[in-house]
Amino acid sequence: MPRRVAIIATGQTKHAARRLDVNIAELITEAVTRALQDADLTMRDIDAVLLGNMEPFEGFLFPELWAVEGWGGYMKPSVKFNTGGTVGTTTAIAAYYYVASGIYDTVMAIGFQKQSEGHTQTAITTVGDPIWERSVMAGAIGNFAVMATTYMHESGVTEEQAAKVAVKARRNACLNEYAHLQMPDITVEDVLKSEMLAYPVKRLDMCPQSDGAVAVIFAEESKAQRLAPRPAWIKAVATAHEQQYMGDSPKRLAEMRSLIAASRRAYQAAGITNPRRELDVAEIYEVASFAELAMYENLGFCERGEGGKLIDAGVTELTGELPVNPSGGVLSTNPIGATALIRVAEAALQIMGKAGRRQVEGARTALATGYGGNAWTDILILSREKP
Amino acid sequence: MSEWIVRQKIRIPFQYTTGRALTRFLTGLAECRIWATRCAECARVYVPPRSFCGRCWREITEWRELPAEGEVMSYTVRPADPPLILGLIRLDGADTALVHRLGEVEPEELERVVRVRAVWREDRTGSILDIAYFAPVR
Repeated sequence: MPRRVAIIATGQTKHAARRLDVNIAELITEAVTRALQDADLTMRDIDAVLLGNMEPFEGFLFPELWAVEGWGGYMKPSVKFNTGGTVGTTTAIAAYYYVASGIYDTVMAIGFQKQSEGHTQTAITTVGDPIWERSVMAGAIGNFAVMATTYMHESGVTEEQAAKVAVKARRNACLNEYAHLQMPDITVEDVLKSEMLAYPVKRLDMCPQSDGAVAVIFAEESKAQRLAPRPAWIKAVATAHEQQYMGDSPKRLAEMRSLIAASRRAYQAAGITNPRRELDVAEIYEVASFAELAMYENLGFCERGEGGKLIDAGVTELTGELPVNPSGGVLSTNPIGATALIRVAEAALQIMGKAGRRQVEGARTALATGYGGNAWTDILILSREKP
Repeated sequence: MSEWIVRQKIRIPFQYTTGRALTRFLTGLAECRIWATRCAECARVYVPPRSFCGRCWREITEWRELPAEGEVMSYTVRPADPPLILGLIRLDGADTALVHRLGEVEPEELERVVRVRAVWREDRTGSILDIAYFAPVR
């Protein structure tokens, strides 16, 4: 039987388009120091360090090699993960396994990316299949645009409804001191009038690219109870991988098979039958406004084709029945190697009651997702109650 | 069937933010000065300087200037014309060694070289190559 595991502390940097005041090591140190302070621990208390980073978004390989002073890996067991958009949740799930296995008691998961160092679309191009993708269509935007038009056709969502997601994200971000894009006055009109990148995706429908790091500390039951007044227990984790070639699942956003598979596994493990009612908050990996609406449907927050109506009804606003991304989400902050782990950190902050002005009152059960490659999904369910 | 291979090239542009410690080190080189940092806990003197001691997990705030002179700890010779000599040089007062080139010396003399000093370039830009090479102190 796996041991019980909880998140006991988190730390984040101030995320920004360009953190030119620090190098990669110094950026990571900022997050790690805050996480250690959050639990009143020192680096000596950490048994192993797991790192998440997406190569080659800094433009060179193994950026963590030159940052070991910053992430505290000196003489510690350590593994680095690189699984695309999911890397942060992969790292979190690995940290869970490390502790649940009984081999390590206290493990730190770190995600970082200093995207201003490299060239994002070039880096994404290196990931594409040389024949099927690179030669025809590579990079994140075109990919999402094609998926978004199919989804609009299937579900009837509109550009206005997607724009509402973009507005919600940037306004929520104003309540998050770490968020990158904070836009208190943004309107639906602003989103619709922003530069068209590839129909129907406009500039304000897309996530930014950010410099940032996050650190999350996982601990076994007795340590968690001793070190955290209100630990965020890991109730369930699940991952699912889709075929990569977009042509193999042409309705990719409308029917997110990996998201459906992973979320249903996690719901079952956590004993959740009605996610909209039983979850109190969700931090999901919505790289584009349209994706969030599709994720509502595929996560079972509403019926198929009802994603647009959910945002219209305000269900997922901070004050709604099921707030989604009170942090401002990926649409506000996206240091890729850290992004999915930020979802986990934010979900944990909600459970721990430490989310400040973005706190969802009385949050007891939280969902965090990671989404990457083209359609891989990671899910974590955190809870105030022990599993 | 003959073999079919697709060939491509991707250019990856990038920059590197030097951060708190290395910025002072590099701007110092432009002025022919070598800056190091010293950890208050383990007393290690780092050059190139670090703003954080990874061994002690603590911030480093103490700066000190080192002489541009030290000892050769190791070297290798790459056959070329002229031969390319690479060395590990520990500056006086440092606990770490710098990787750099050795010059004004023939490969067969290297065995007897102990002390070296930095030879500075005229056109310095704030780069590790502002030190052209280290030459034997004779």
